[in-house]
Amino acid sequence: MRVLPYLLYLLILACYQVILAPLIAIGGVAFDLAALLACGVALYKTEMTSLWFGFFAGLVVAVAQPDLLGWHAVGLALIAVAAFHLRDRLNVESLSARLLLVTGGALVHQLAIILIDPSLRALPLLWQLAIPAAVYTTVAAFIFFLVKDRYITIQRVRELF
Amino acid sequence: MSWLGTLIARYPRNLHLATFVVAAAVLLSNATPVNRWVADIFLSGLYFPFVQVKLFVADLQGVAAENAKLREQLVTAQQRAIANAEAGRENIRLRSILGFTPPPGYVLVPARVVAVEGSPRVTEAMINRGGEAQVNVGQSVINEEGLVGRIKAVTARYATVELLTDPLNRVAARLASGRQMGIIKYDRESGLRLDNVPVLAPISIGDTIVTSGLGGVYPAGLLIGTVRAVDRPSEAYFATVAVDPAVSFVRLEELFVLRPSIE
Repeated sequence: MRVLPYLLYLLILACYQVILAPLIAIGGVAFDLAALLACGVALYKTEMTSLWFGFFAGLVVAVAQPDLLGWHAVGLALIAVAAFHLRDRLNVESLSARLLLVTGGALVHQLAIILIDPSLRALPLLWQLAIPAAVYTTVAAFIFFLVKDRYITIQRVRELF
Repeated sequence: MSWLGTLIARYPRNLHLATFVVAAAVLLSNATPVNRWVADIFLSGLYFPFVQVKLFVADLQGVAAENAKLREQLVTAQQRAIANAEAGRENIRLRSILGFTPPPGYVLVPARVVAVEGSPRVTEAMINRGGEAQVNVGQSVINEEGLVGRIKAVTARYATVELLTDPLNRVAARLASGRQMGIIKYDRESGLRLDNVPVLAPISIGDTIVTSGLGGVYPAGLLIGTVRAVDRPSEAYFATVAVDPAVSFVRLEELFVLRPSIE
């Protein structure tokens, strides 16, 4: 039963990849949910959980490119483990520190995607794709952390109206 | 096998790392079909329902677009059908006009009604022929059914027709068979009637009334209508003759001005 939430996360990730990402993309750039989830798991779970979740999230993201499956899986797994160790050693607790961690994770993941895929190896993609995606992911992470920290609740949203 | 359990219990982290390294090595090597299997499993297990949903939505969008296109085609087809029906009706009218010949000494100037005036009954009509087509005041206007009226006013390209339904209009008329003469005029209450017909005149319901040609306004022999009712009051000198006009004044479209021939 402990695996069930992570399967749900992977299902959400697949749904995002297929349906949601094209809908919420701004100028062709969508936020990096895989990096956000991997960093999120790293922030709240153990090292091994982060490792395996990053690994499987990488597989889900790269399912359309079987030849690059391993690189994506290993890349995201290493990002998740690195995030875990940063959180563990730097005692990342504040909202801004967590956001910085997610931003870094998303940026590194986007760079990894550009480097892994030969068809994407172009410098302009750094500011056309990687940096905007990292910024967009930071915004999404900000909302996610506000909800998780209960700054945004259904009750408060109702009170607004 | 107890040593394996002990190993897992004592070094879970190392075991995880070792498994990860092996899995990563297998996937990175690309030497086995494992990558394809893994991709197939994830595609059929995780992606399949969402791909189906996306295809379903795309189908719905396609259906909506097709529906809009078909609606547009339907509207176009309906408009075309209405235009065709109108053309058919016009064709029937024009066919009936084809055999129509003007009285001797006159030529037909075809015209189309562009506007009508009068309420509740139409008393005037504007046609798209005027001075440029040698249409002049006083000329008779007919259609395939009979006498419509006469030209009342003319501009270069348009003319106003005073219809028989105008109470100020007077037409010298006679019975087509009995030669009895009278004056056709329109009364707002009783409609078209033939006046100045003696009580004892031989006139009966259904008799045809045509223009007499007297007065020089209308050529002789143009059909005006048929007798609908005859009232012969004992104390009066003239009978009251109600007439059904041959022309339907509520649907005037193609008219002909009777223009005297030049020669």
